[in-house]
Amino acid sequence: MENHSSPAGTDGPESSGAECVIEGTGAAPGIAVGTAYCYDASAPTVRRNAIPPDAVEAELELFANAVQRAEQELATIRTLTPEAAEADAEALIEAQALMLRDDEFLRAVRQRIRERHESAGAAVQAVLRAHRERLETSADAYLRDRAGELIDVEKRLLRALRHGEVAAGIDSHSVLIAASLTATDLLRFSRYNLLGCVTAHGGPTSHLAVVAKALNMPLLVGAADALTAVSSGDPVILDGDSGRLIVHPHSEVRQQYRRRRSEQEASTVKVPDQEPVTTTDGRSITLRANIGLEKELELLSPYGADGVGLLRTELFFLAQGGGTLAEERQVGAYRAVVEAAGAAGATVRLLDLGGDDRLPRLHTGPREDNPYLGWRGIRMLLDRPDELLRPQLRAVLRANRHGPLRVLLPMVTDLYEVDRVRALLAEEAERLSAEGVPHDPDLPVGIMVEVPAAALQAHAFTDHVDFFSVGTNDLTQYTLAVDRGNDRVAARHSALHPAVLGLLVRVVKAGRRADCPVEVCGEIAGDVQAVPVLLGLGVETLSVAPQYLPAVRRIVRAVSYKETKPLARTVLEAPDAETTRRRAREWLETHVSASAAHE
Amino acid sequence: MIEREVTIRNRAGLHTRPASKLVKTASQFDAEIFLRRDNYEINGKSVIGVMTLAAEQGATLTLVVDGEDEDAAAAAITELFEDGFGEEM
Repeated sequence: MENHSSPAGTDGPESSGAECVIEGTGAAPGIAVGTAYCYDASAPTVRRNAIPPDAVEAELELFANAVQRAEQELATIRTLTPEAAEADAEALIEAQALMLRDDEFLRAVRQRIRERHESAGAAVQAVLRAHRERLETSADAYLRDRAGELIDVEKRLLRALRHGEVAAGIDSHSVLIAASLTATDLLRFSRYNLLGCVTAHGGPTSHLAVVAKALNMPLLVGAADALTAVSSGDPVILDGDSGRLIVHPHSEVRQQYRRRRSEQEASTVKVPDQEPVTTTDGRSITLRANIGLEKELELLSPYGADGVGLLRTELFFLAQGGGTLAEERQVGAYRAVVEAAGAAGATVRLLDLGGDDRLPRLHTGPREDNPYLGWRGIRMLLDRPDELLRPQLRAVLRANRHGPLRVLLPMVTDLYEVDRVRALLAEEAERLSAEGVPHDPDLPVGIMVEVPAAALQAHAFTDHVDFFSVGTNDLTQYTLAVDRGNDRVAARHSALHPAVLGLLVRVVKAGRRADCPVEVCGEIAGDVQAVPVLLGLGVETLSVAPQYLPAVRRIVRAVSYKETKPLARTVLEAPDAETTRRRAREWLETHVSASAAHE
Repeated sequence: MIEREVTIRNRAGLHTRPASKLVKTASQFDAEIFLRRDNYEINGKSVIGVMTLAAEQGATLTLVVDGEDEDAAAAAITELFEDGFGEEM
């Protein structure tokens, strides 16, 4: 569209700097026009310089807020951890909470800030370090090890202090620029109404992207030059649609983007599209929404979602502040979802923790060497039936009477896992009946096909499940052995790799033979170039982030199903991902008018 | 003011969990509560202080309690020590 990478300093006052354009990958769509805030996670967490006397009060307040934030963090961890978690973990959290309320400690820190003009971080370190030294010199090995618990508190407080400082720098005009950022960081910072986010590293299919989309916040990743070219306070435009960051934009560029932004805002609130979604030759395609935050329920109707194809339950609870797995609370949440989803209902994916999500109270053991090959998804749920699995199943059963729900099992590799969940489901339904609690036991059970084992064995699963949902992000990661969070290899992560598509076809065929519906819910389903390929492979239901629904709907309506079939055949025979990508792009250019493909 | 000797009986010593227990009990009383080991004295209501006593099994501490409810406080805390904080001894 616009091409404004014009040479330096052709416009505007000297002080505003020269316009420059930084390329990256748009990982969440949308446009932000604002001011850069550079977040340097590697900056020293503790300020060593003395604070000016007139900043003492502010520093004391920063410290008080950090203590409060750390206490809230502990409360969240506590509520998130199931009742029966190890007593040791419980004792540690309790001890940390007591330390944060330890008057002697708090007084000593405040005194150092007030009298020695130390920064809050430096004061915390000085006080705790003195205590730690005593422990570290103990003759008793066990007590020596307790010094680690003081380090934990120190780290928690320093982190909270740092977040306080960041929060002070962010406002509702800020575009956050960082080397890299975790999904949890973004959730935390999003409370300050950030406009958008840019990271130098990372790929477009990270959890960060999922959260950014959920927050309706444009995200640019892999913008390696952003760190050197942008300083805090610089005016910037973040274009998540075309994957660019424009620093010191010319005034006319800024005007253009402002216009585009208001157009986008206007187009999202228009009347929902009620017309059925069919290809030009009349094949009906179901388009559902992937959501993960309660806030996103508002998006279902304006974006015209035909129900919820994937409710991620991890963030749903984490983001609610208190974060609890209590059954009652879950019932309320699922009821809200199914009521917003309407007649098409909603698919609830059971907690998919593990991988890169570590919950302190569940993960008490040593860090796993290969978390993605480790204690994750259904494996964790089955190991903790009373704390995690049963309450969630009960909540889904109970909410199921308010509208059609489906339950989806994450990370399944083995038939046994499905049978085990079904057995527990039957037990809980029976128990609810015995307790006289209203529920609806008619609950379809499906699996996420995200491990090659499940795809290869899809035919065997058809007797045990009611539907398949293919999670192409993880299926790609596990098939190609590519960690999507690792910059060095992230570019190799392509769901259009012929090997991944081959597995997908296997699942579609197995499903068709057994009359077992197959949905695709990975990023690929929202990739405009990939949609015709998916249709040609026989997929009839796609589930994508709500923001992608309008574009996907346009494409489906612009293509002929019959014509997508030869495309599917040629990509399956392609030698590599690059070739499939090129063929898909060329097909789109020749079979769909440009106006339909891009607005 | 009450001053008496107490001995760590539980095997793991005065580590995190007993320290939390001790502080929670101590905090229920108005009396000032101190624990002394050699020449190091800490406030019995400060969990960080109690932890840094680094008191292992068999160590003897001096308990000092001073205040209106000192009798009840001293009794409650002594009992915790006698009981090995409910841990393995």
